[in-house]
Amino acid sequence: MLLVKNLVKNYGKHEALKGISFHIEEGQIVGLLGPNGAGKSTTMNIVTGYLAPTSGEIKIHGIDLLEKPKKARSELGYLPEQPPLYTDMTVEEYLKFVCCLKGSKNTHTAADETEKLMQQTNLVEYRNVIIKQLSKGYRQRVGLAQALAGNPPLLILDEPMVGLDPNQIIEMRELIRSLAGEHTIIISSHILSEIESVCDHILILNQGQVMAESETRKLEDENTDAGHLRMVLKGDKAEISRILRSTELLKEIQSIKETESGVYEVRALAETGNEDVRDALFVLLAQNQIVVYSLNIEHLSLEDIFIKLTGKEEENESNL
Amino acid sequence: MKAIYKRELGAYFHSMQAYIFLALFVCITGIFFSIVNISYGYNDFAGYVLSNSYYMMFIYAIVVPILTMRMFAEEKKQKTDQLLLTAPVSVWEIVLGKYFACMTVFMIGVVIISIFPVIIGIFGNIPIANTISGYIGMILFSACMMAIGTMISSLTEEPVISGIVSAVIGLLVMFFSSLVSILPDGAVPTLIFFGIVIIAVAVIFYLDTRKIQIAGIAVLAGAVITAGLYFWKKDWFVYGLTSSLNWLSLEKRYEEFLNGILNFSSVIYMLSVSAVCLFLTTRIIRRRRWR
Repeated sequence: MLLVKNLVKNYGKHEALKGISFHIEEGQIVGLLGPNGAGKSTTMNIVTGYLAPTSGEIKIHGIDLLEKPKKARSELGYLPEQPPLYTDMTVEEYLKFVCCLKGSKNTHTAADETEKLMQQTNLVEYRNVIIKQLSKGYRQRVGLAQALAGNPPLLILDEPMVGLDPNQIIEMRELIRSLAGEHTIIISSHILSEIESVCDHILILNQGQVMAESETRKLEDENTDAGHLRMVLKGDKAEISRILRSTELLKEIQSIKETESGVYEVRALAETGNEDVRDALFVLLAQNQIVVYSLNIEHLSLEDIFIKLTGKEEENESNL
Repeated sequence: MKAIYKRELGAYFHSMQAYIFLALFVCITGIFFSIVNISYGYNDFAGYVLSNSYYMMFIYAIVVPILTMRMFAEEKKQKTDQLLLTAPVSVWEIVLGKYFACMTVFMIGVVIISIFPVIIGIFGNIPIANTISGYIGMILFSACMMAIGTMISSLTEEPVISGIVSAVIGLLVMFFSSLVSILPDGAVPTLIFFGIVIIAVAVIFYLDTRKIQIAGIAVLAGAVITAGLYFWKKDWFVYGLTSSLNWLSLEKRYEEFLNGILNFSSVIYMLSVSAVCLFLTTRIIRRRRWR
C-alpha cells in the first residue's frame, strides 16, 4: 500500500530524516511514534506530497509520488496537525468544496458525498455552522471528514487527538476504529496510550531514523522476557522473604514493598530466564500458606519500550 | 480548477474584501468622473479619467492590491495550502483558479464603472472607439498588475506585507518611464545594465534549479548575445538602454490604449507579462516544497 525507501530530508544543513524506509500493508492501522522533533510530521508531509524529499522513493499503491504526483495524491487523504480549514465557510460549504477539489464530477455528486461525510463524522446538525464558531473537537472532525473526502484508500492523520478533551478523544478513537478495514491508516502521536489503543502496527521514529517497526503486540512481547515477575502476596514479610530466597526457582529478589498492611509487592527475577516458573512458584507459596493475590510476568508497556528505544539512541549519541 | 475558482470567488464575497474593493473602485472612479467629465466638461472618459495619473495611482497602488494581497499569503498563514497542495490538483490549476476569481471580481468593478461612459453617451457625444480601446487597455494592464500581485502574494506569509510590496511595485510600474528618462544614455551604462539583467536572470535560474552549471550557462549565453549585439549594432547601444526599457514599459503601452491606439503587439506583450508572472508563481510554490 505504502512503500517508503531511503527517505532523506535536509532543511539546510539540518538532517530531519536520515534515510528512513518502511512498508505498510493494506488495511493496517499504523502508529507513527516518536518524541517531538523525531521527524513524524516531516515524514507525513513528504508522504502526502506537501514537501519534496531531498532523496528517496515513495510509492502509494505502486504509483510513484514523485513521478505521478496527481494520481498518487488521489489515493490519500491527509489531516495535518492543524486542520486546513477555511474558517469563513460553513461545514457543508467547506466539505462540498473539498469533494469537488478531490474530483467529484458535478455539484450533485459532491452534495451526496458531503452528506455521507457529515453522517460518518456526526456533523449533520452542524452543517450550517461557520467553521470559525466550532470548538476544537468539532474542527478536528471537519478535518477528518475533509481527509475522508473522495474515499481515499490511505488516510494519514497527524496528531488527530491533540487538544481534545477525554470524551472527544474517546469519540475520535471510535471514529478512527470504525474506518479500519476500508482504509489503511497512519496516525502519528507522541501519546503512547493513544497509539496502543488504536493501532495494530507501530513504527518508532527517533532523530530521523526508524528505531522499530512491528506489530504492537509483537513489539511488546519482543521487549518482554518471561523472567521478570511481579507478585502481590499476603503474609509475614520475613516468611515471604525466606521462602523466596530459599527456592531455586528465583535468581534474585529485586524488591519487597508493603502496599497495604500485611500485603507485599515483590519483584523478582526467575532463575530459568525465559521459562515460565509461575505454576511452580504458586504451588510453593500455597504450600507455605502464603496467599497469592497476583502473580504476573511483567510486560513492558509501550511507554517503557519507547523510552528503552529512544533513550538508548541518546545514550549512544552521548557516548560518541 | 473550477472548485478552486468557485471557492475563491465565494471567499471574496464572504469576507469584506470584494465589497471594499468594489466600493473604493467605483467611488474613486465616480469622483474623477464627476470632476473631469461633469465639472470640466470633457467627453472622453478613457482619455481623461482612466489615464489620469492620480486616478491610476489610487487604483493600482491601493485598490488592486486589496484584491491580490491575501491570495496565497493567507493560505500559507492559515496552513490551508496543505489542503490544496496535497489534493489531486496541479499547481497551475490552483494558481489559475485563484487568478481568474480575482479577475472576475475586478471585471464586476469594470462593468459597474461602465455606467459612466454610458451617462456621457446619453447626455452628449462620446468617442466610442477611444473608450473601447481604453477599456481593453485597462483590463489588460490590470491583468498584468494582478498577476504581479499574485506572484508577490506567493512570496510571503503576511497579507499586509504582500499588499504593501504590491503597492510599491504598482507605483514603480506607473512611474517607470519617468524613472527611465533619468537614466544616462551611452554604450557603457547600457552594457552595465545588460550585465545586471544577465546576473539577475542567472540568480533566478540558480535559485530555481540549485544547479550552478545552469546559472553559468545563462551568464555565458547572455554575455555572448550582448557581445554579439555590441559588435554587430554598435550605434544601437548608444540609445539602447532607454529605448529598450521604454519598449518594456507597461505604462507606456497602456497609455497608447487610452489614446485610442489598439496595438496588437501591446496586447500580446501584456498577456505575456501576465503569463510569465503566473508561471513564476507556480515555480515559487513548487520551490517551497523543496526547502
